[in-house]
Amino acid sequence: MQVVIENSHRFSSELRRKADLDDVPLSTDDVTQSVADLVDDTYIDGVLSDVLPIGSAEITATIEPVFKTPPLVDEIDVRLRTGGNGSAVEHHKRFKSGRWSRTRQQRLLQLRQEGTLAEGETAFHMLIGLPAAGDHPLQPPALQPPPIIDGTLEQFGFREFGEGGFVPDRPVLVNNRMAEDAVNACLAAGARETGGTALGALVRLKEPLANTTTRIVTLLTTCLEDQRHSGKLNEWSISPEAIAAGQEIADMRGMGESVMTIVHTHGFSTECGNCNQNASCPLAECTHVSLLDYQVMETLFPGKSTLMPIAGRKLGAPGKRPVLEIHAWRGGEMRPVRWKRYQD
Amino acid sequence: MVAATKLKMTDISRQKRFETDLSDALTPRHTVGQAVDLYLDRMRIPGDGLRWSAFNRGVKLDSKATLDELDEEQSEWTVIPEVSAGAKSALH
Ligand SMILES: [Zn+2]
Ligand SMILES: [Zn+2]
Repeated sequence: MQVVIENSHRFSSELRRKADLDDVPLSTDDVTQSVADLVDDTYIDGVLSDVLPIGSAEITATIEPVFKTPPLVDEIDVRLRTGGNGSAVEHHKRFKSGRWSRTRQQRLLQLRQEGTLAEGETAFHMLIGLPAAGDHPLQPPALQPPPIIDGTLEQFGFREFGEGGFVPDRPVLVNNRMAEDAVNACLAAGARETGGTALGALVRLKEPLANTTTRIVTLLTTCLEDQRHSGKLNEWSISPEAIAAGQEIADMRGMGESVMTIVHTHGFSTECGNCNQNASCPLAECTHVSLLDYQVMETLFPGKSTLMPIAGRKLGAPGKRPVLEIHAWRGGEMRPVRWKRYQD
Repeated sequence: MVAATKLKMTDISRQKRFETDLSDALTPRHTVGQAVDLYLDRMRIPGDGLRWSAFNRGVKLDSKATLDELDEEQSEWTVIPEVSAGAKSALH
């Protein structure tokens, strides 16, 4: 597929002590390429929401900053056009975040560590967009549709729907046993983190399910534990060997599943005993996607259709059990999405 | 044994797929590690100073091995980094 990017700005991500452009920046990073990478987010969003055709020969992407007041960028608008001659399809998305948001968080940590910023002192972040003088070629991201299987839910063992609901353009179904196992594993491991390799598939149905607008459903079918992964407080180390073994198991099961993602936990404490209600519980919530988690998503699972299920405490959730939250790429970052259980 | 003449590399979820002949940017004299670096660059995956491995059918390949040491059946790889997930926010 040929990808052409139309962009006439250079973007930089800056941190300052004051929300004032005259203040000397604490850090400046050229993030033009990370802005261009949002073309991939937009493309995958278009494929999964059944708007963009798979297999178009050419895509033109137009990147436009939406300014608060120039040069301060509020959002990035990415517009994709496929094909030409009458069959052209358009899909566009706006982004407030991107890889530069993670770069900025890392910078902030660095500035704290080296003492430039005192603990508790905040810095203001600005995304700056300036008209680019002359040509500056951007490397277009490799746009590839994820593997999608034409089929039925039943061929993956689906029997009936359970609790939960759908995001209309990104329906996610999770095997009830897998969801319960993740919650129980989190509970059993306490403050220590744990997890496993999740198998599943992207399935294209004949018709969208009720209350959805796309035929493509993401199915998480099972979670494989493996002793080679190791967990401690705040960190769960993933064994490449165990992940590779997961792929072998998926192939042996012969249902067309692949390794879709990993499930991991953010801990649940028996000491505080009230993790979902106690605002001062030191454990991170399952709604929090850390920089480590982003690194996993951008290296181990670089496809933008990947989900990240996290089990852990959730402030305000009823009861004394961990909650399973599922995050998906939305708007340039991972955000919790609604999902539905199924019984097999 | 028939020597590999092309390489297919993908991430574990098979979403970022790259195929190349061993006569182009890569030649039989390049190493497994160099092939992985090329894959990361072409797929715009941040290397991040992580340790990366290539697996063929669940078996890890020696990153220092040259591509001419591989036979045809070893030419499809899954590329996997050593990473951690978790609540910890600081990268080290
Ligand atoms: Zn707690
Ligand atoms: Zn995490």
